[in-house]
Amino acid sequence: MLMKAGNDPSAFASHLTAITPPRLSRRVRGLSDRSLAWLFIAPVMILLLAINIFPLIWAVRLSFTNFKSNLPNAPLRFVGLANYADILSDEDVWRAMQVTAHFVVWTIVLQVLLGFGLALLINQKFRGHGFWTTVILLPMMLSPAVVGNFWTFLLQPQIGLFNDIVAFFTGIDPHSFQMLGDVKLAPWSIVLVDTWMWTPYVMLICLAGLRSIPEDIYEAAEVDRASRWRQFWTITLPMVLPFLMLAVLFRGIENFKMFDMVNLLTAGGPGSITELASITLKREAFEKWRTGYSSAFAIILFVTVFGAANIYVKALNRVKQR
Amino acid sequence: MSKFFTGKEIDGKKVYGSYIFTERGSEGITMGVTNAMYNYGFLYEDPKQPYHMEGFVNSPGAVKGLDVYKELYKCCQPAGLTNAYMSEGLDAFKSGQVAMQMNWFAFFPGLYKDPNVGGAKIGFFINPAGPKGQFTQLGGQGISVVSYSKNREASLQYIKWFAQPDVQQKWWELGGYSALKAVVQKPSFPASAPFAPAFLKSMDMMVDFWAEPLYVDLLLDMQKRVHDYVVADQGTSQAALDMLVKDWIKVFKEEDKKAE
Repeated sequence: MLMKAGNDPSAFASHLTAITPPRLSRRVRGLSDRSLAWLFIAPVMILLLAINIFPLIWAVRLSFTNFKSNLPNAPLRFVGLANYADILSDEDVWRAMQVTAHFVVWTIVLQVLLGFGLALLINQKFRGHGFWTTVILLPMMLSPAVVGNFWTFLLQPQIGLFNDIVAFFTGIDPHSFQMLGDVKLAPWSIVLVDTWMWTPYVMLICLAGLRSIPEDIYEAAEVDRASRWRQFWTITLPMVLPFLMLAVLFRGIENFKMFDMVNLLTAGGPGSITELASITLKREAFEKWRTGYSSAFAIILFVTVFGAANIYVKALNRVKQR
Repeated sequence: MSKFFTGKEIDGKKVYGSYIFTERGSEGITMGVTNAMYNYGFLYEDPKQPYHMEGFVNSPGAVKGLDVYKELYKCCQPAGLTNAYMSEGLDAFKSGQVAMQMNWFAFFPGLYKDPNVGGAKIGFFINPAGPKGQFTQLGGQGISVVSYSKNREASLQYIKWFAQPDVQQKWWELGGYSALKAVVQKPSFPASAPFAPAFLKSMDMMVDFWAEPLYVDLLLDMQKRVHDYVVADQGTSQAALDMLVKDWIKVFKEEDKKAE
């Protein structure tokens, strides 16, 4: 009966009506399209409210109190803006923000330069470019925890390959430096590892931008005898710019809240040299259990990222409209 | 002694003099550094005035003790062990990378039995003395009964049973560590294991932790300040301990405890 009905939609609908219980069929018939749409998205909305919006509102509430999760029965005190004032006047917090800024800026600069460069190369469509594209993409398919773990071994001064590779190319003693334990080199170690992992991501976005440029624009430029450099500067770069800015936005937001890879690689050390804001936040929230204080810190970070992203998106929209 | 061994080439590999705790995430470097600082006069607070820390946590002796630990780290710690605790020390020692290691007595039975480094090749010694005495950091796990447990009585009975001298003696013979006087003060105790004499002396010179409910916050602050100075070369030892006093005062004040 169903197979026959499949050839005729109205017969199929009649069959469904026949087998649907009357009460349910009356209820569904009564729903408008709008109501049905709400019904479909309701589960997702409820989930978002439960695990995103409600915790955010709760965190805002807690940020004005002295609540500590390990002392849930202690008297709760409203402290006003004291947590916020403490955070904004804490030297260690500002140091963590500086470390985060260094990490974000340098990873973005390197990933954009290398990612865009790789995209330009891959876009040449040389023989085997599909294979090399896949190989280049491999690092970003790994889990950040795995990357943090095995780079810890690679960067070990005594058994790791990294020092030997540097020694091979530069001639310096491989035991004379240590990437993770040296105060000057550790911040660059986390930049290096993040760049290794996420440059392919920027490359992909840039590649999408490069492939969206119509070929006839380049043909017209060639007819006008524009040089390769001129074509790059006046055609390629302006047309890929929105994609580049999008990549910068995504990587910037990700790296501002970076935690797992750096925590595994250096745990914020040596000392606090690579202690990103997220690691400081984790220590306050889940080691010292200063829930009120860490909620305020999280809100400050959220507002910072949200505000910066908003300004950036406005700039991105202006670029897209040009 | 550490400096003597550091940098020597043995079987084509560079070796180091000693391994000390540098772990940042939990308690490692604090457990290590206090072994040095106690011997130079570090105290958690004024013995006559609770929560008075200024001049005791950051006393000239405490500063010197911290400097001694840093000197040992700088001269003789194997490269790469900037965030290392118990297992890294065992690996460094068993692989022949270091001549000496700082570690807990709990591991010594296993080390003694190790075919590569144990038996006649290994020796055990206690924490060296300093100008203010000879002390060592307390280790081990406490045993406690949860107040709302349904088996409180049984748990308490278990502790009573475990604390009996003959049970503690058996525990020692099986490789556990007893601190019961009835066991460690027996005339036969020093000969019962190669590390027994060192353990006996260590028991006599242990310094207890500060039995303060806010110990976790205090520990985390100390981890940060000493790691920043010893491993990351941030500031001076005096500055590190001065900031630690400020951190601890802040911790106590948040809990409405009068501290200075």
